[in-house]
Amino acid sequence: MTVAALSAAEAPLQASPRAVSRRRAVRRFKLSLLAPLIALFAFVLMPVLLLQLYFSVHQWTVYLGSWWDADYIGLDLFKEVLTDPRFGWAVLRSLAFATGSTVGCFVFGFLLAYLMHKPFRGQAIYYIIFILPMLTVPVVVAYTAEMMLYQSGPLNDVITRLSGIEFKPSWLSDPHLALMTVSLLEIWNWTPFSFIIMLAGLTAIPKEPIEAAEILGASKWRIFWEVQVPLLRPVILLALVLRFLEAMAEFPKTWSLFQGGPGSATETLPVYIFMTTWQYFEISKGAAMSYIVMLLMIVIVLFAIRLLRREKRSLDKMYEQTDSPKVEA
Amino acid sequence: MARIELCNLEKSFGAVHAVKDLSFTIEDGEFVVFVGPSGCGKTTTLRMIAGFEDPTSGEIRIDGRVVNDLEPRDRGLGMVFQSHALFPHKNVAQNIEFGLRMKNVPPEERVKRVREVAEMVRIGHLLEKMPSQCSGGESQRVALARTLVTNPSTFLLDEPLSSLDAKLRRELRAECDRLHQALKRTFIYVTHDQEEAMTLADRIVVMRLGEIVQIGSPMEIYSNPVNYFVADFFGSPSMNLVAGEIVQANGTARFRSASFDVALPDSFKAAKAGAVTLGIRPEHVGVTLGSGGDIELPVRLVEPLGKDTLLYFDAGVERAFVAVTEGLGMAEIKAGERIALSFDRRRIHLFDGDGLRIAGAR
Repeated sequence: MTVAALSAAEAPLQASPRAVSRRRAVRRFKLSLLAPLIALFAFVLMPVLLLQLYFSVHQWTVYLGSWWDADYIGLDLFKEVLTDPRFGWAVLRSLAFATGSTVGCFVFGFLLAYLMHKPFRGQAIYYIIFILPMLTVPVVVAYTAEMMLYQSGPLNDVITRLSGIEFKPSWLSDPHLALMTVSLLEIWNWTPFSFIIMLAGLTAIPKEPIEAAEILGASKWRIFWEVQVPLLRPVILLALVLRFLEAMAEFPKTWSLFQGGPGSATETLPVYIFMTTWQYFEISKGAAMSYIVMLLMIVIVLFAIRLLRREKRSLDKMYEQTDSPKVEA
Repeated sequence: MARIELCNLEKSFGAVHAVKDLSFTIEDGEFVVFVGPSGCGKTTTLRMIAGFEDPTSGEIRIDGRVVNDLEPRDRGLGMVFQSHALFPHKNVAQNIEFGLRMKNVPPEERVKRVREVAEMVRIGHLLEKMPSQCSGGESQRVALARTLVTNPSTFLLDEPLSSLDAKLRRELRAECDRLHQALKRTFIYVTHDQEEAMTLADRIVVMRLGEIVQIGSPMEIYSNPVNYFVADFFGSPSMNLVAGEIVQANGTARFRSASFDVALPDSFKAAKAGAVTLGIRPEHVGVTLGSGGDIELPVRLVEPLGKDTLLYFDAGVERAFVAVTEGLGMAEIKAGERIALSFDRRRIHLFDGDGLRIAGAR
């Protein structure tokens, strides 16, 4: 038996019975782990996607009789959506919103993580405080913000009193500010997320290279840029990608504060799709839009996964040596 | 050039007292090795000298100047870490150059210096490689070069060789020695390997449980261990240590254990009777075929090593009593045979109940 196992290990092409049964067992185990996910996909996600695909190529809405009798219209709706300037603006708004809030979350999250990554007294209290916004329900964030942000509201009032300068931006009614207002709320709401990821990343960096840099004469600033940031690259990328994808789908705060207004200033993709589907009852058009957005997101996700893989590979390669030194022959 | 003084140095981590009242001066140009089992405080001491840990109390002086409040980079020291601690995202040349860049040395000068030190530790061919492409030994040479290039007054080496295999370890040990000879800088080296300590050090500092147990040249430590711990720690194979008692009879002292009884040299004539441990190094035990000798013990195991043969005897306890004989002459001895052994009387050590050496032999 041992001889068979040995030869199997040396020449995997000539599989021994034992190696075959082993491989089968491994496959069975993998399948059993994946089974719930496959079931979820097959019985929940797949029907929804198919139904949506059906709607996107048929003209149907709630008051048009049975959905299975709807007229087939091919890709007309896709053409309509793609030539709809309002949809184009919604894409741009979503991208601007996601980019801005992602950068904001990241900068503040990283800053807090840097301040917190070395242990100090009372750290846990700060940790809880910094995490709190993330635990707040987005709708609550929105309504609380509404109470604080109206033109003669507490925020403007406090800033005016502190600075002595009249500070009266209308956060909630100025179309030029509205999208920024939601972005700021998004940043407040989700900075903790970036903070947690960056904190995990910072504490995972081995301390020796940092100490080596320190004794070689590097200042904190140079250690940060020359040692910590390069070693954190995969984590930084992860924090950015996850946050960006989440921000692209932001709906509750935008909707509860603005419903797409003032004008169409906050009409991001989720808002526009929601309005099309449930306010204009153009269910088929909404389905077509969703499909287009899904494809757009798939492209972004695939790109992100590629980047992440590359970063992970380079990181693995970096640590191959430092963690387990190879032995010279 | 640096003379480093440690004055009443203490370090506690919460309830753990890692370093206790340590006072010691390292002379300029000296190669000092801190040695001891893990957790003895040697690395903590080194890290306090480097500036990575703040002493709980006490002072560290470099050339007479108190450096407690100086940042590591302002102490003019260089450090080599056990894990090499290379910057994984920079190639070998950039790694070596790092310290010079931090000191704003102009680029042409940097290139020249990097080349020089790379040649010095024989890694000139690796400059373009990434650390992940270097073997363990090469990585440690790069780490040495990175420290060398900044021309520090003192080299701090924290178990630099413990992640390497035995052959490489010997090779790099020789390299450290060579660098010390060539640079004439102060070297402070931390290790748990007694062999490294013996071969490298001008002076060895033996530490245990946060305290210095003995300071001395390798020969002093080896031949005159102050206590049981030091005697046991140094030497390979280690010293034979047999528990027993001193018996005074007819004006001579004898040592008696469960398995043998041996007359002690005159220098122990005045020793108090009572429980002691007898220590004698394997190379000071003579093996005689046939009768004669001081004691007779049954052989447990024979280990022919080529140059020497190790004989393990059964002394009635778990730990074998070891003797070294030159060559392979004794390799044919069978386990179970009773063999006569004689002791080099001048080399017998006795340790009292507290493990302290009883003065006498000499």
